[in-house]
Amino acid sequence: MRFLACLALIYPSFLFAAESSDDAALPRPEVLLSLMSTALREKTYSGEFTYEHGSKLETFHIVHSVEEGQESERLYRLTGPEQEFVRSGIAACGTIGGHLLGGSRLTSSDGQYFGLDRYYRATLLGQDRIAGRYVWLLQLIPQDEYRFGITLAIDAESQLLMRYVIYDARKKIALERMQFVSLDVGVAEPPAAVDEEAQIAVAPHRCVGATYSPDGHSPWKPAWLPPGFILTGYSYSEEDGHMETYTDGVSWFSVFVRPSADDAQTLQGRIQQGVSSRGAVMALISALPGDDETLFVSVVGEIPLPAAQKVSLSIRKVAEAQGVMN
Amino acid sequence: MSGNNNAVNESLSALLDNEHSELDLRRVLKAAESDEAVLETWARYQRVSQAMRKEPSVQPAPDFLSGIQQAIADEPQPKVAAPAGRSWARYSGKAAIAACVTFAFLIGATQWNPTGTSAPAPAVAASDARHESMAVVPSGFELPPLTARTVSTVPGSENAAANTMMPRATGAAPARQEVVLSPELQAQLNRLMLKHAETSSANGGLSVIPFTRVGSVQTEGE
Repeated sequence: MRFLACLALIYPSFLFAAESSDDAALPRPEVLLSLMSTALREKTYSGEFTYEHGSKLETFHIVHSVEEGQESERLYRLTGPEQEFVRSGIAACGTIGGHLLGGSRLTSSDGQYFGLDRYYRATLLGQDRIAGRYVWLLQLIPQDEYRFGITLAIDAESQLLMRYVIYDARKKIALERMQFVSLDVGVAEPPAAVDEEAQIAVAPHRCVGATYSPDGHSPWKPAWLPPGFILTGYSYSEEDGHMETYTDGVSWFSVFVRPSADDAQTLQGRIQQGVSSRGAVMALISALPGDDETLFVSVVGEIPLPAAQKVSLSIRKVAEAQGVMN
Repeated sequence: MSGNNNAVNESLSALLDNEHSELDLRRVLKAAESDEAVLETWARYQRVSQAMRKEPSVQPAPDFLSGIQQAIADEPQPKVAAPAGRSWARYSGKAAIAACVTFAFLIGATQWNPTGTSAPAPAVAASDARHESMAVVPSGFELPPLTARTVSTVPGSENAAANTMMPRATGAAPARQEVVLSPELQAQLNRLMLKHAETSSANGGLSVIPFTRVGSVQTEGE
């Protein structure tokens, strides 16, 4: 049974509600999120931001331009080795993550619904000033232990994202922070020095319409997923096996499964795992021994380790005839 | 059991509280070589301290410990002060996973002190929780406390996606050993992080911002 989900675009109603309220009222968090999601997609802007994780501080330059419906995005690394990620030449459109962040709800064909409001509580914290611009502070509080929380700072004037902090609600620590130090709206200014050799072209956005279904299924699926996570994509590669990516609108994680027949002897029936992390992203690599083959399972993403472990230990093979609904 | 056992247990406690000295560490390692009960005690203490700190406790498979000991017996015994990091790098990617987990349990909270030992400190690259130099901690930004451990970084490793691997949990708790990754495993990690960033950026609502997490990428003319 193919997975099919319908997108319900519910945010327009929030916009009308905001306009009819008086000046003294604070903006509703859902409204701000929806405006931010649209602004990030449709506005032209460029600027520099810092990215902190652990005690490391890195800086980046970003350019986002939309001209005649064509979107172009570039991320330049300014500290460390030269690196430039480029996405260009495609029409600006809504992605599943963009829709979920904007407040849309997805209904899957088995009646489940996915939406930010189900597993996060959005609250307005107040105002602040970042890079010389006044911003609204918004917090998405996770409602269970399987996801991280995030606080966002949204520019009052352009509704662009000026800062985010991802934190682990359980351990009460911040994992990473992105914060703009300068922002020019309406201007697509590249950085001073650009190295053509360091460019890496990245895959285009995957646009979704009113109905959505992922473009393929892995023969290996986790029997357990943290609630509220939806499958967004599948791909296969020789070196990393079957890859599926899941999201709940804020957090993302990918599961890589690669069966291998040769290593049964090394493991001798024992499960071995290793964890690595960078900022909010953790990578859990496991070797799970099976009857005649070993499964190498990697879970990479912005989820707490216990959730990643549960996912990786629950990988099962599904029969060819049926797909699995998540 | 000799009278040394109490001393070993005290050293274990000190290790878990991260208040140990070089002597404590040597004592535990020496005891672990000859007495496998030490490793079991260490695991038990670890669970207790996790419970006290109300951390999620991860229970490994029942024969995990014996499996590790078997793998330990099969591996050459490393010396505490030796630059063992380089010889580990020769293992293949698959054996490296076993090696990483094995050494993590054997060594415990090894304290590498570049100023104290005569041999050059092994190349244990810094993970996010323990960078040796500048401690940029902005106000209101709660970070796990930086440990007293000083490590040297492999040149050019600063932007590689997390050069270290630990058997479980995040970098917040002390007494977890970081282990140098083999080049194959490091390349695999970088590749996985890149693929994940690419998918979450292509399907997400935050533009190209997810790519900030990607470390050094080998561009192979894709």
